[in-house]
Amino acid sequence: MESNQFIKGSLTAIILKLLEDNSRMYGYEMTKAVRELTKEKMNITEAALYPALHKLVDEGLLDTINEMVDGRVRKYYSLTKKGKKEATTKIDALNEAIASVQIILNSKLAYE
Amino acid sequence: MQQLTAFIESRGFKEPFVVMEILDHFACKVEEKLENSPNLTLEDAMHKAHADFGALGFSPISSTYYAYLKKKYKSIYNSQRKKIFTSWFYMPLLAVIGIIIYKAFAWCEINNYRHLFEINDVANSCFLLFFVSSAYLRTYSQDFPKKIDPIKSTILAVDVTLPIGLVFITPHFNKLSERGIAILGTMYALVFVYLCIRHISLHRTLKIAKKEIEETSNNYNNLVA
Repeated sequence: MESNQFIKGSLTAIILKLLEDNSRMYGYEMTKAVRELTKEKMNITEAALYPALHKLVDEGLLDTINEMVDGRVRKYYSLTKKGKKEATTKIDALNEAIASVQIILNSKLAYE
Repeated sequence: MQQLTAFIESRGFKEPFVVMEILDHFACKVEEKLENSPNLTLEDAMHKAHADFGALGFSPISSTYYAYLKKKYKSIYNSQRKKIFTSWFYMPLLAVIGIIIYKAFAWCEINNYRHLFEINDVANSCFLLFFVSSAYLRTYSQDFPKKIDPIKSTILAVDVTLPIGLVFITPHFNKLSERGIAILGTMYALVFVYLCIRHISLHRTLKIAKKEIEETSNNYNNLVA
């Protein structure tokens, strides 16, 4: 999928948005949510997701909590206070970037 | 779960905390494969689920998790050190110990107490104490996975070279002047206090890390039992 390159650059904003809308999620749930919301048009790979999650936890934007589910340990991620503030900033920044790109793509560019 | 765990381990990921990090996501994917194709065997479902992780398989999750844990324990060590620096109990105690070291060093210099390698006895005692403490910390952390050992590199870099550096300075001054005693005595006192803070912080960090790793190992052992 060509959109996967686009996802790589906006993964942080996507994760923060998902957690903003849902109090807590686990890794597989996030990949499934993205696939379902975009009707299979976008797919977050595990190779991209988990490094991003670890980085966000390290930066203090996410908290983790472990729970036993079906005999295995499930790690849930949720936004910290700092994460909630950062979520708004990053989502707004991404929306602005998308709007700017749309202007360029939708207009007829005459460059002389 | 045991088969899933065995599959993850067969791919070269044997540390319990790494297996546990990968397991839930892998299990969810396998469940999805089995739901979508009920005729699929568990073995095939596991291979298909593993293929979904990409060409590198579980490696990206494992390597970034190691990096994250190493950074986490380093951060815990820094916060423990900060706690000691701002502690109403430790700082006065360490200040008193520092003064005692300084006085003892000065007394040994004035009375020429140099019984080993022409080095001040107090300097030798400090060096020996930190050697023993470093050895204890190394033993305490010997069960740690090497990739996240929070002290392996720092012990050699600081705890050994710093005292050795100081000890090598000392014999060069056969008879220290009053000023020399004051300067060298202060250096020994400061280094001693600093290394005390380091070792207390390292021990506390190791204790926290050990507890987390043991908890994960227990969950893992319950899983494979």
